[in-house]
Amino acid sequence: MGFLIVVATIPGLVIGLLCGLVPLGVGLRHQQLKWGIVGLVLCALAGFSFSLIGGFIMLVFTTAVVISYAFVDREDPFTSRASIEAVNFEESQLEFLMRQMAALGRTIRQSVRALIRNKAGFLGFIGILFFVGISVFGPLFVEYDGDTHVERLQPGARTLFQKPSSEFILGLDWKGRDIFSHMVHGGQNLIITSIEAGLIATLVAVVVGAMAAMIGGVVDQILSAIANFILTIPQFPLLLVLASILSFSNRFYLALLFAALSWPALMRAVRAQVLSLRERDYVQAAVALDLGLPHIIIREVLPNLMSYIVVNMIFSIRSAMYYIVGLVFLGLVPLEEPDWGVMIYVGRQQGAIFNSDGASMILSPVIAIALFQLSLILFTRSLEEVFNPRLRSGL
Amino acid sequence: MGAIPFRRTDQPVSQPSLWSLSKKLLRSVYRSYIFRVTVQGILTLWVVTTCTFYMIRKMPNNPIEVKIDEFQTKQNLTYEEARSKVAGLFDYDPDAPFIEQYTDYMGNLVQGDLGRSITTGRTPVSQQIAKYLPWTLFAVGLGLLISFVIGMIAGAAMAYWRGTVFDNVMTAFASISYGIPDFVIAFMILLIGGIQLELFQVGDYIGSVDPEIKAGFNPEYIRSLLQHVLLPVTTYVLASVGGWMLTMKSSTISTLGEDYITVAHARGLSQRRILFGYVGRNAMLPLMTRLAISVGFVLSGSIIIEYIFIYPGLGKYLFEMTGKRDYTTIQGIFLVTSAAVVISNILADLLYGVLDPRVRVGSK
Amino acid sequence: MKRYLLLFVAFILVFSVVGTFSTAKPVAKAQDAPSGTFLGTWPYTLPPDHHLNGFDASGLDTNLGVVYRQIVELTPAYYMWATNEYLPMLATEWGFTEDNSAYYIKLREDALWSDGTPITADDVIATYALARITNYFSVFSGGYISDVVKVDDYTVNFVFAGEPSLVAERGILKSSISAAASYGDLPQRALEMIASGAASDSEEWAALKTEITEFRPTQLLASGPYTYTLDDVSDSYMTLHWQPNSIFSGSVKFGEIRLWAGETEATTPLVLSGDIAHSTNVYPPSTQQAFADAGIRLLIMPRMYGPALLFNHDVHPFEVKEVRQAIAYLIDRSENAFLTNGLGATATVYMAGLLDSSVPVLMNQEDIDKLNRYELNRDKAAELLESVGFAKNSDGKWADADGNVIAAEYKFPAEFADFSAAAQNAIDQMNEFGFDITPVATPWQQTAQDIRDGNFELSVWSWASGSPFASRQFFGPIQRFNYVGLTDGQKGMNFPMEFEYNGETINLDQMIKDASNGLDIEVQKQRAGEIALIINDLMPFVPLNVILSTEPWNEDLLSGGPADDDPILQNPSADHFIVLYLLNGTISPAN
Repeated sequence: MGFLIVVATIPGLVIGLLCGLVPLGVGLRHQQLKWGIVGLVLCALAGFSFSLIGGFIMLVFTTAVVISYAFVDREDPFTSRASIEAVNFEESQLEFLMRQMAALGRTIRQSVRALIRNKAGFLGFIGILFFVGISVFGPLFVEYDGDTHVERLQPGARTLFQKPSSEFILGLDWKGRDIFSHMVHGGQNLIITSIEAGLIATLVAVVVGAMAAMIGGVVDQILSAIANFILTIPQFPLLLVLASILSFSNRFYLALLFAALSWPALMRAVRAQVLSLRERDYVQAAVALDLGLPHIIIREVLPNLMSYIVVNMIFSIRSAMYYIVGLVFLGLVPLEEPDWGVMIYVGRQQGAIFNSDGASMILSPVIAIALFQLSLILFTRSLEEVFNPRLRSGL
Repeated sequence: MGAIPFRRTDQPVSQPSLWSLSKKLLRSVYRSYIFRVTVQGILTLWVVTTCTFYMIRKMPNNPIEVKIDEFQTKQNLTYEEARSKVAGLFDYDPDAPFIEQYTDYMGNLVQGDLGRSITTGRTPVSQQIAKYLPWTLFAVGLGLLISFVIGMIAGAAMAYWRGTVFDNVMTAFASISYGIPDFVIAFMILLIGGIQLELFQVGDYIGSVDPEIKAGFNPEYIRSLLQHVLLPVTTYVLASVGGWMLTMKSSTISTLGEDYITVAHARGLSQRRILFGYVGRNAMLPLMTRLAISVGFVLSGSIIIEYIFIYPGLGKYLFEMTGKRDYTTIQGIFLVTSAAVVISNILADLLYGVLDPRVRVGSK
Repeated sequence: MKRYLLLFVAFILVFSVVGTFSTAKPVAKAQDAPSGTFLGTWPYTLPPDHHLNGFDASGLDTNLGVVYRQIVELTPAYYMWATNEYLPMLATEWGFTEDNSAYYIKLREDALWSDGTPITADDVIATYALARITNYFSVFSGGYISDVVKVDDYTVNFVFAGEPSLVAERGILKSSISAAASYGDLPQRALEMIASGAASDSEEWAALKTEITEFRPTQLLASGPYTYTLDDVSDSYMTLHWQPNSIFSGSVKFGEIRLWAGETEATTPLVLSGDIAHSTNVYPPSTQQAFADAGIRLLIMPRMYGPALLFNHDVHPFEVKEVRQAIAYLIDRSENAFLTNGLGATATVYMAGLLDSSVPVLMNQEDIDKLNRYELNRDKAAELLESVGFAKNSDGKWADADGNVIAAEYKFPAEFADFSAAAQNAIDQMNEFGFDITPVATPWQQTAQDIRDGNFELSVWSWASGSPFASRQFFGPIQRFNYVGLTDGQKGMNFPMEFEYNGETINLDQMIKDASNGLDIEVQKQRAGEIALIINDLMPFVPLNVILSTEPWNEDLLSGGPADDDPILQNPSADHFIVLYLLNGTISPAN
């Protein structure tokens, strides 16, 4: 199962509000009411959409931000020069926690600033937020219209397709169902599967790539050979064949399949990057200190690759979506409704291409997918700035 | 690279015998780049062939039943009529042991024989590929060439005038181009241009060529060829030009920052000379490799586009044959496309060596 | 110099005038051919796959199809469904011999092949010899005919292996006759092989069979008024050219037949743009709408099959008759038909396993009256379910005494617009009624395989078929997708075909096989009635609807198309009306 089936729920809202009390409380305590309220709202939203997980993560983040504001202005021993003599260097556990939170908060604030600074990237971010928002909150307001509606047949018409009208703003599909409701309900599955696929592919690529480069020798040769081999087989045709062999009972397997085929490209890049990093002084130093492979990779190598990895993860998500929609389009993936890809497939099958009444059934998802993918690509620019501080000044 | 240190065992020094000479020769052959990549390539292709051989036979159903179903629905025959027409007509025995089928196939393959198509009157697979491959090469190749050239020029210009309105507009365009999947572009062209706005008559632009025009080297035929390839090529170009532009831009920017450019400026070389002789050439280097690799994927990257525009290329044919479960044909197309990737990868390596003298020096 | 130049110019002029005249000559001859082009479509294959062998499935049958092959290679006769009679084509006389031991056809004596040679009994003998070696005709594969004998130059006897049969009659009268001359020495060798008494599983037989199917005729000798060569086949369309020697050459009104390549999707824009005047492809309802909006007439013809809801009888509770009956009651078949193919599908009326149009022909009125029509009645469905221990639970789902709801996966072929629509709508309706049915769309090859393997719970596939005989219409799906019609231990629906019924042990499989044997129509009606009543009662599958062909017919390009009430429109595409109407000149180019 997809591990992220999300729809906004009322209990989630309650959880979110409860979580929001923490930043609000901290804000009140440190006279940062404005940021406290922002925290409350964000926590409520996050809890609303992602329930406990969302609410808790947002709680930590917003509280950190509130604390960072509070401490910059007041008690931070490292930034407020005025009180430097008064600082007691033996900090209590609470103070330690506060300091860590403040650091986290500053990082978040910097990231957000970096995110906003690149206009194109921010636009992409807004776009992603828009689609995620629609998938998460849309179902609350728009009921899914899944039943056949023969009664909506216009007199004299041969099909239930209808052009967009004031009642159905995107028109009706071949079963007389509201296309708008399918747009609202149909993106989630696709977006989640793509994200899963992209995440898994990236994870595999990074782990395998880093391992190959750091261990070297036979391990490296074998892993590289496997990667080269997978890269040689034409991907889409292979997916075509595999998709008809494995009948996917759910989309998660599809994500796995995509990941299995698409990790090698990124893996090779990661491997090359790690190889070059390996020669750097600080890594050599860590090797000399015999700090252990996991430590070296996680603490020394990965942070320097973060920007590269995150950007590639977005690309990976994008191509996962491409392949999934492509396979659905060729009819090789379970046609679970509602789903944007299925709309394209069924619309085409039912002749919507050649009938202007039905064009909306294909055009709507096509445009949505295009916009979403565009948002992803634009978003990478911001991500580059967020994760690669050196870039923050440029472009 | 994790090179294993070569340890010499202490051997008594002896006169060079014929044996050791030939051993030396063999070793130098083994060490030679061409030999190594060829062996690697053949090995890869063998594994690919074996895997696909197994996989495509794992697909549900078989060519005979598929054909019976097709006859029943398309020709309105009863099951028995269809079965009597199809039974035994295919040169394929679904009950033959897998190993036997495999050794038969590999035996032929070693002799350069791709076998015969199962479902289409036993035509040799090589002949099939020869028929459909040129269309794909033409369409995708043209698309690749156009988008590469445009991408080069535009990308370099964007880098040169970076930060200007021109750069911003072009970067936005490139992002859009890069962001939207090719089949979405294809749909938009068909649906918005052809059906909604009726800018063109869809029927005149899909397919391969206007059949009323005799094939040959005459203006009408070439015009018709270009007209029918227009929509797929436009799609390929729109979908891939953005990627080239962005890559070229970043590559040019990094080249502009190199020391030798500064030196060239300092030497007072003309702007023109620096742009074409120094920046352009060096910025293009990484892109040439990418181009060579893309060429390898020309054959396989076009299934959906060909399917949408009903363009008789290899991708659409592969999709059809997958539907018909024509094992030998699927196998042949897989082999050819994989071989193209292997060869273009080797070429990319060689090309890089030729274009960039530093690499030649660097790699012993 | 000037003079020479003048002379030269004059020479050129004279030469070009002569040239025009000499090239004009064949044009003058072709003027005998009618003008105008019939713009049709057929999904043929391209050379090198394309070939002219009539005894290989990838040859003429694939490349001309059952419709256009009949205007190139004529059949002995043409069948009219409405009147159940045959009209003469290549044959003038036909029938059972007096002792009913054989069927005879007598050819027209004036019929010629396109090369001017006469069409004789030897061609028929050759055709059947080749078909016998390849087992290509159903009269051989079905075991109806044991021998084909030349009586005189124009008469051939087909000797029955067992009982005389009307099924065999149709097989004989509907099979195209090929020219012996096109196949070199193969017919002769085939006859020798048959005469030698070699077994059909012997090696020589198999070798000759391979030789026949791999044979590639260089020319297509036509008995019909049109023929073509491989040069006429391009990837966009192929062209059939008029030829003067056919018995129909004088009556046809088109000089050539242009068949555009491609299936539904490729041909849709061409129909809209007027490049195709008539298409035999199947278009989804919204495309039909687009045609109608563009002023293109739609001809409605039977397609002789429709989607059926298939039960796996190994899956509880579908082995329970009442549950199946309840499902038959609860599905609104009119709604289902509309979604399946718009106005091009009709709800099943008689639920007899026979096409509704065939029921009055193939059954007695007395039996028809006994048929349960399963008119939409959800109360009745509920009553039936309650009678076998189901009740609605608190969620509004039907559950048995232990609380198990009626849940199943419904597999359907994703690519088939009509079948997948029928299935999806049936699922919607069943779920609305209180079942828990999950749709599972798979590639159609997978669906077919799964049905054969019995690896499904509910599924959809066709019922009935394009044959006027009861035994053939009953065949699918309860024989085709049931253990009796499958091999290698495949179970299919696993509906038991031998069981107690009304106190008698019956073998439904054998009953269906025998249903159309013999020549006595009344006996056949009796048998069909018995089978239909059993199927009607047990509902081993639910015939949801019958699909109709809606073929675009552009009256700006064609005149003489059949009126909506023309009885010939009762013919399905195996006996397509354009075969007859093209040949006898009813259809002509519109001015």
